[in-house]
Amino acid sequence: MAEILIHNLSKTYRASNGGLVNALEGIDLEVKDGEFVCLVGKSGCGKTTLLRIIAGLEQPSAGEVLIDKKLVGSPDPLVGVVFQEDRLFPWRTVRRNVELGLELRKIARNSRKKATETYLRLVGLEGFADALPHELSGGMKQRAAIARVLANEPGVILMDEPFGALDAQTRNQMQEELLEIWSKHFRTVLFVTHSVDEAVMLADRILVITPHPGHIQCEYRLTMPRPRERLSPELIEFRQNILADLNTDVHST
Amino acid sequence: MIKMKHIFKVVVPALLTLTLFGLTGCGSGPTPSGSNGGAGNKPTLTKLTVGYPSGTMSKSLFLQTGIDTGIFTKYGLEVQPKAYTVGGQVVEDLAGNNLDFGMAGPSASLDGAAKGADLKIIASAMQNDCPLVARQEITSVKELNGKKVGTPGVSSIQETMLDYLESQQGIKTIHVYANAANLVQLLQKGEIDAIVAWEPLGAQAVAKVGAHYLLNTIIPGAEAEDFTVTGKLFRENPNTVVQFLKAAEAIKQYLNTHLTEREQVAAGSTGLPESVIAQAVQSSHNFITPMQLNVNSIKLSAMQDIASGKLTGVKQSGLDAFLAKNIDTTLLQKALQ
Amino acid sequence: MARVAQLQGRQERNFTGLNTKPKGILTFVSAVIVFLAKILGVILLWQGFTLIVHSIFIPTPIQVWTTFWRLTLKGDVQGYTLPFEAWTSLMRVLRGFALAIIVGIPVGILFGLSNRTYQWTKFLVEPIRFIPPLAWVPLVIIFLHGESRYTFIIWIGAVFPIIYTTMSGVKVLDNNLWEVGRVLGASKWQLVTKIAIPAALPHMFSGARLGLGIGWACIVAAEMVGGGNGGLGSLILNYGQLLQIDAVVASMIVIGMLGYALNEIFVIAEKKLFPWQKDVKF
Repeated sequence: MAEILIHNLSKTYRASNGGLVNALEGIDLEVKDGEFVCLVGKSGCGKTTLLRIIAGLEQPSAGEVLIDKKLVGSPDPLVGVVFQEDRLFPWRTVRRNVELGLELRKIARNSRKKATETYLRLVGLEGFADALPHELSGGMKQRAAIARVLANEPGVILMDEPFGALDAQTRNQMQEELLEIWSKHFRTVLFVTHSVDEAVMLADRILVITPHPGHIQCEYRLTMPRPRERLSPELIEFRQNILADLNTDVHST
Repeated sequence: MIKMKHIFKVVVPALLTLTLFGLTGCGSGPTPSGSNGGAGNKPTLTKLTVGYPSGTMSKSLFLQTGIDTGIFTKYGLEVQPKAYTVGGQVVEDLAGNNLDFGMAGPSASLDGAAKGADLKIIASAMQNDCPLVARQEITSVKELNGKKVGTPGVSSIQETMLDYLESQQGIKTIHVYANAANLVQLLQKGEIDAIVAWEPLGAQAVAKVGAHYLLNTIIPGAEAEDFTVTGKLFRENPNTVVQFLKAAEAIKQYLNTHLTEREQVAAGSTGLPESVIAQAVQSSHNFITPMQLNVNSIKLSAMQDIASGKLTGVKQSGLDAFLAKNIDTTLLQKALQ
Repeated sequence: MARVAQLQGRQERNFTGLNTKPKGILTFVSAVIVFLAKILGVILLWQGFTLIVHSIFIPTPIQVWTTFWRLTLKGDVQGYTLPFEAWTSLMRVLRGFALAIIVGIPVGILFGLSNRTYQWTKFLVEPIRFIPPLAWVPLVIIFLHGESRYTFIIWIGAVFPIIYTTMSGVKVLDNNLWEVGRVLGASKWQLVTKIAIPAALPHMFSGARLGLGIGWACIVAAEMVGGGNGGLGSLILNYGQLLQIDAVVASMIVIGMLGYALNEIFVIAEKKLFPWQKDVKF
């Protein structure tokens, strides 16, 4: 059981010109165990800040984040984070990158090895276990980064535009693979993206975030089974509605 | 891009000009000005640059006395002393015509001459000046066999004399080269067992470290430092050379009559105790009048240097001709008349 | 998953494709010819220079070559052969260099991790950094003994590049990697040992290489101390005093070549050890 609860969270920070910026205001959010939730918003809307606060990498100015009813104050290995960049350690082989979380938690070598093999196979990198990251393609690197998070067996996975730097084809493929993994290991996933397209393919629920200050504009529930047909009328409708919501912000400010 | 262009327009020519200036500055060293240095009856003085190995008594006793007493001026000369670490460097600058006069050991001068430098050894500047001092527990030269002996450099006459001493005594020592100034330190720390160096280093080692003289000088009467001039000056301005030698003779005579006074001055300028200077002069008898040139000792040291491989480009068989070419005492004779 | 396999297949081909061999013997031969031509060009320029300048002290290439072999086979005025002198200097440099690594890397890591330590000691460390190794010679003679003097001079020359490149290597550590460590649950100590230090390793290596180069270039200064036996630096000083410039130039060439070889060994090792590091190596 791993659920995320956020109460009345806000974040203000001081801009370089000295003024205060409201990055997030009055965020209330509940993500249920095993749910796949996408946060969609334009760049600068505060969605990444929200994710970083949930990850414990930044502190909220007000409000609180609870994961499994425990207050989040600092990063926790059981809350996995996949960043936009692969952030692999260049001096470690793919295997040792995937192993890193377990190594840091001082898991015994044997079980470490077993878990590493499992997750390398899961992301289809078993043939590249001994390669160094710089020898891999962008998609493969991101898969290794996902395996690294999965190896820790976290209850919650936070993903910050993980496929944002990939080309369209690889991106689609990675989405399929991610869903496949998720279907096998139902974990709570909070997925940040600016691509509405991506969100409608993946999510159980989509939260639209609009800026100034960053807040949750509205929410969509998608019940269609996966894998979804990209060009199905339902998805197209969702897409249009969400895109319209994203643009309301322009008028409101 | 505009800035880059500016840099090329302004900085590059400036750098080029500076480089050119630097190069020409290096090329044109001091040249002896004309031979209008008659016997002091003309108001204009002939400028002479004189190189010497710092640390020897060439400056503190000899050159300084000549300047202080006005003897150089009396002979129509304005002497500019120039310090070098070792005689070898003095000879290098003589060879490049960047110096008029040099005070250097005969080994160094002959090294230069053997390389084809246009030089003349014309008179003795200092004789003896080759003391062998050892730590207290070493009481004879023979005991130095296998021990470490410091000398002020591979081209120094002291080094040559040590080679000679070894061949005479049938011993072999390990030579340790160091800056003259550091030899006493090395002796004090026990890193070397004896020193063959110029004075006042011998006297200093005795006073500071408790060493003692094994020999006041290795070959009594041997040349330690000679006046060497460029062949150019020798041929083109023999008069100036003669004037200098006359002044040198006068300075040495003055030194021998006013020794205590000049030792005090030297003590002041070097920062050494007067007793050390006095000891140095007493054991070395550096300044002998009338001036002469001990050609035999030069030949001896040259033979030693050829044997040890320090003097290259000259064979034992051609040595007499080589020495005849590079040693010339005719101006000395003229000066002493 | 089928697409995954397909992608893998393509990548695997690329993988082996990296190890393609050079185009063959012909390129090798032409490379050798070009190299020899360059050497010949330098020698001709040198010969021309000796003809133009016409100084008795500037040796011709042939004089230097024969002197090189004389020194190598027969030895110098003290009877030491050139390989012995080179070995002596190399050992001195390596001793000083080893000490510089032992001190420089931990200090560099400390400075990199704790800006406060760096700022507090800056007033002392920074001025020392700008004192040329040669300036230490008189003090070194008084305070140190025998071979330790050379070690010190080399050390003082080599240690600062090592400290500062290590420091900057630790400081410029990608904040991204640091965050990964945090979200994966690394302790402070683990962040340092598993992330900061390995990430700075290529910098430390470059620093060591620069330090070795400077240490090697300090060998003449070190051997100016005197009081020791042998070494390429003292060879230069001795033959300089004897005005045998051919021997001086031969020793200089040996110093230059050995320094170059040492540096190349490091550069090759760096390329092998840190293939992802794309910065310029010199």
